[in-house]
Amino acid sequence: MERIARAKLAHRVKLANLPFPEKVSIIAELQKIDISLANAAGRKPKRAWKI
Amino acid sequence: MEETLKVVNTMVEKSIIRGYAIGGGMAAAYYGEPTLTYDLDLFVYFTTEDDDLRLLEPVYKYLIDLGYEAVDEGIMIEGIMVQFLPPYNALIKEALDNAVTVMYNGTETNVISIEHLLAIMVQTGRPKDKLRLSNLLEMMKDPDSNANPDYNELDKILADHDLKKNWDDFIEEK
Repeated sequence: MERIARAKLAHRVKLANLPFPEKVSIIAELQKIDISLANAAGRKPKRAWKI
Repeated sequence: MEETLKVVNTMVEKSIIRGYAIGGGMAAAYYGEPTLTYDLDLFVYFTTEDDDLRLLEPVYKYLIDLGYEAVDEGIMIEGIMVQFLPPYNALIKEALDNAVTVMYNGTETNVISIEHLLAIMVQTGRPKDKLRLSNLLEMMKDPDSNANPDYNELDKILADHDLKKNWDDFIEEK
């Protein structure tokens, strides 16, 4: 269990240490996923960034 | 995003605003993991007095004249939803004064310091801020992480703004 927790944290730290522009690209991808989910659930989606 | 920052930097050059710093979810993403957000929150020193209700007027006029669209409580600049926020209390003013200058590719920008970001998240105490704070605290456990605050500075900020108890309560809750 502890090994899994350590590996998960190491992965998260890798993400946290990415350059700022790469993080912004990931945020834009997360928006796309969130908007798909909103559409599927019949919720009004927010507007995605165009970067 | 780089084009958005260039537009905002030009606003400073043209004295439409006096200065700015990235806060909110994007500042949290700068120091920690990228998480879902739809707004680029900018704490801004406006050119008019702080208690003037028309603070945003010159900002919106400038941007709308350039063809950008006001949407809900923000304005879409080069594809990114930007919210211009006044420094509404002493902690935010201090965060704005002590923002860190960083590069976004080839463009200079300002982000509030991680110590101020942590203090603001404790002060606001909204569920989404608590979640971001919790994520940053996880990152802070790893010495290789970018989320590496100066704890003496953080302690000083928390003490100066009467947030020590809020911080301790949050840590205990966690």
